[in-house]
Amino acid sequence: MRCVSFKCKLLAFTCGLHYRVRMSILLALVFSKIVFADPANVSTGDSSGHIAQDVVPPVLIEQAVLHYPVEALPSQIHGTVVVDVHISIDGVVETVSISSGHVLFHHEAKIAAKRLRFSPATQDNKRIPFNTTVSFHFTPPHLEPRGDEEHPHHSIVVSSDSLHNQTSHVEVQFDEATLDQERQIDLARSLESVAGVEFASGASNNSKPLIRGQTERRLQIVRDGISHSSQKWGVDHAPEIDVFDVGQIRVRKGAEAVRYGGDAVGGVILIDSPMLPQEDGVFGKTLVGGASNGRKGFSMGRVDMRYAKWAGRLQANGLSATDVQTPLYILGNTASKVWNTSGILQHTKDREKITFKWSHYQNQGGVFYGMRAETPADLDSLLSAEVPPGSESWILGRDIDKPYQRVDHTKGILSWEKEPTWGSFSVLYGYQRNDRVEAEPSRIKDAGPQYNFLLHTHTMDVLVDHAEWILGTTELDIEWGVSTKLQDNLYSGYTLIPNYRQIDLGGFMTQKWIFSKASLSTGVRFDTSHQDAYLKDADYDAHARRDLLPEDCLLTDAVAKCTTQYSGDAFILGGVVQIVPESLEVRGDISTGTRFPNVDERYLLGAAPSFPVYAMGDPNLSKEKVRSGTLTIGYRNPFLAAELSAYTNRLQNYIYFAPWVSDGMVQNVTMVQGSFPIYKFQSIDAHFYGVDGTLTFFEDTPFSSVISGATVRAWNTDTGQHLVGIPPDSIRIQSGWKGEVFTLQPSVSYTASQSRAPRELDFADVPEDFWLLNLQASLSHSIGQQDLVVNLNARNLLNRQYRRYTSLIRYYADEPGRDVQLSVSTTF
Amino acid sequence: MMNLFLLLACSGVKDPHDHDHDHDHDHEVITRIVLDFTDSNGDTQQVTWSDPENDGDPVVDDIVLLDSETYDVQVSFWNDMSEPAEEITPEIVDEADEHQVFVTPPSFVDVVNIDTDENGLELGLEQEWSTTSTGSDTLTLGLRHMPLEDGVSVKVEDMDLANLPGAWDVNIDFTITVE
Repeated sequence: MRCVSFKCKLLAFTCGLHYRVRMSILLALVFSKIVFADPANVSTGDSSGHIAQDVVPPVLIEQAVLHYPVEALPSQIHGTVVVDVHISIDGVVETVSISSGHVLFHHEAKIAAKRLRFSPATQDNKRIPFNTTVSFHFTPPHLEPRGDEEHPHHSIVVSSDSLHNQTSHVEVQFDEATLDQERQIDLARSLESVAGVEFASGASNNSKPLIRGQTERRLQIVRDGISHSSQKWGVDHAPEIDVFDVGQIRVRKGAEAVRYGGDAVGGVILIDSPMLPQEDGVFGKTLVGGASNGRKGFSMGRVDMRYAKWAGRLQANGLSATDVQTPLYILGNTASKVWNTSGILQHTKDREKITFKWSHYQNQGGVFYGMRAETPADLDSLLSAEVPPGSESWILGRDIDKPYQRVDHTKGILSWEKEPTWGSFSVLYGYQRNDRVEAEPSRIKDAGPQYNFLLHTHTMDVLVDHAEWILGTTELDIEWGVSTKLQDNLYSGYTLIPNYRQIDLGGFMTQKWIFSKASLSTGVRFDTSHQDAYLKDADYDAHARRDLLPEDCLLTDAVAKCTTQYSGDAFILGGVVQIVPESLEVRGDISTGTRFPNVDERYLLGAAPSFPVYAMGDPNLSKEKVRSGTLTIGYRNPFLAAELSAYTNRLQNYIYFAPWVSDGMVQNVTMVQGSFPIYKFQSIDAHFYGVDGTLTFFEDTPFSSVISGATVRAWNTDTGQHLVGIPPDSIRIQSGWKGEVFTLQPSVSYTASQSRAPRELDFADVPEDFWLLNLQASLSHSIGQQDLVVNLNARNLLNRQYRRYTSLIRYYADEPGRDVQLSVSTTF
Repeated sequence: MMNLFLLLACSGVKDPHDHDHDHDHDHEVITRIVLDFTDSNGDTQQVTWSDPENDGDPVVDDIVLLDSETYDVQVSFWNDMSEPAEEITPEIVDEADEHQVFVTPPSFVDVVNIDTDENGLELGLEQEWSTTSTGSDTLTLGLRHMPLEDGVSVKVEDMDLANLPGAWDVNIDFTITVE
């Protein structure tokens, strides 16, 4: 189930097919003598269950809206939260504290409890304060249309989704079932159905996401609360995310620099593991499948356990694929093998939870043969060939030859979450080890990898969320946090990237004012970064000869230490206004942000197997300063749900990684390993703007249609020229049957040709526009306690030959041809 | 609990200063090509193509020769990325049936390979260059690695430069002037 956040943020309609929140307040009936003033089965009483004979307890006179939390949607769990409340002599709830219930519901239960209004308790006709308990029952949204409530007498149709959970940006969500249906080999391809999200693939079978034209440099990927850290410089270095171990993905399109730092000025992708079981017992899931293109085979097994206060998980999966095939030829040496394991151990006690998560990701893949040019003449030939030279000799197989890449990403997270009476806080420590090797053909057959990278990253995040303050009819949420990062990069091999140490420190605070039909949020952030780059002899000489060194490097025996410090801030002012409740909503924000240059952007020099260009850094890059604005309009009626978002981003000192143009011509370089196009990190002023949106017709019926599209423009404001590498306009139409048991949804996507950037700024002609036909189908069946789901996912059904402008492999080869994938998953 | 977090945060931190990632470094690459010229009078000169950092920015000597002269040329290959620098030429000699040096000269220079492998096929580490007229142009020199197939050399006489098996170990350009 996929949901565009507007659906989550508009009201009862909004909650229609996907996020119609069927929730009820079931206020547990404790005292038989209480007469309810509300049909919602409200009851109150003290925690002991007894009251003095002469005390008349309070009576609920004003109901509150209860929201099913967005965070719980992937798990679809039910639950009751019991809240202890203290009611003043005015009938106002003064204090609340959670007595029991699932932690995911605590926040919403507290909010709802504070909004309740009572007639005061009395004793001898005098008003008295009163302690009692209130129970809230949360039920996840169902798929059937509104009016099918199973417990209408206990239910309150939600008039709006929570303004607490809304950001001023567009947020799109994927749950585990959707990811099973759209099963892809990597994260980026799994998100391509989102309007404004593209992906870029490189030399192998991996890809990176782009959001509104912004690359991974400006997209923060947060996995289980920890920022994902890897070698981002590689075009082919896909985020090392195990897509089989994902319970929920949230894509936020828009600057999130205040909350997540400068690397999120283009957006953030939040990825969470599947929920642990809430009941005692042993549960699990298996998934097996295969696909035609690449003859992929994959399988996954997961076992979850809970016993009293302890819960845990063990999970493993693997994938093997042969070389990928385009409609006309095999992409030689693109076979891959992926192996993932992970585990969780969690202890919950009262309002405290300690969780340890561990995961290991391993991906070994060949690097496409057809990108290696031995001479400048070869390079010209490759860049202009319709069919890669030599492709007739490439044979389909699972062998991984040189050049290849292998990456091992190990992550450990220890989190401590606690909910004292004043709010909640969490402390997360994360360690990530990214071990990457790349090998290219060499004179010596058995020679080891020539490029060896090891990235250690330690992070510590503290997040504090204060309980809402009630100020009349207005609520105030305050959240603040501190994050630190220590990162060491250790490299050996051919000249490419220096060792470095980077220490980051950042802090933020946000506050949100929540009114009855609107919210207003502000936030500030401050970051500082200390970077020490260590250039060894060869690195130093290579940089010095090109005049690519900062002035203040400290020379020691065999190493030059180049130190740089940055500091920067971010600010956001945003809001949500429900103009016509349940029908029309406007969201928007203005924000600023600062992104510091990464060490690799400053000192990268050379080429690597997975990097089909020669990259040149610039040590004098300045920090990027971003000014952004977004405006989103959502509209819904019984037939149509629409969301349209416009945005503008002005980036001063934008670090532009693009073909290097000198004397009006793009430049190549010839090394011993071969000839390469030169890409250079350049500091320019840029302006990105665009529109994207989604129209959903008859969403509340099984037969629905979705039209989504995106357009983005990006200019170099210094030269007035369009930027290279910006995603072309695209539109996608999906229509079909989506029942509870059976779904059949064909889709057609059109991607225009991107020819705005002048031809002389690029190495090859831009790809032509293309149409693709895809198909998704699923069949669900229950056998006893087991749920069985069969998913069919067919891509490029017409086997169209095309190239994707955002992928650097476009210089050399076509995209994959038809791929039909079948998988079967069971849960028990 | 907080102490545990601090302990974890401070553990496993190594200084990246002068630290090599612990992988094997068996990755020989040719970063220097040396041409030793000896003319008919016994006079010598040395010309070098060198890219010691293997970063695509080589230092290249120009070749300057006299017209109507014959030169004996010894070609040697070096790896400057290892310490000390390693001469690779002996390995090429050991695998002579898998290697051949190819030179594409301008029209005013003739190049003939002198030495051969054990099968009597050209190797090209020893050459004879003859200048026929004056001029200035580009000369390309490459070392082709042609691995054995089923244990048999794939080299033949008069190999077609446009359809060579294997791959270039190195393929570089010199500027040559004949005065």
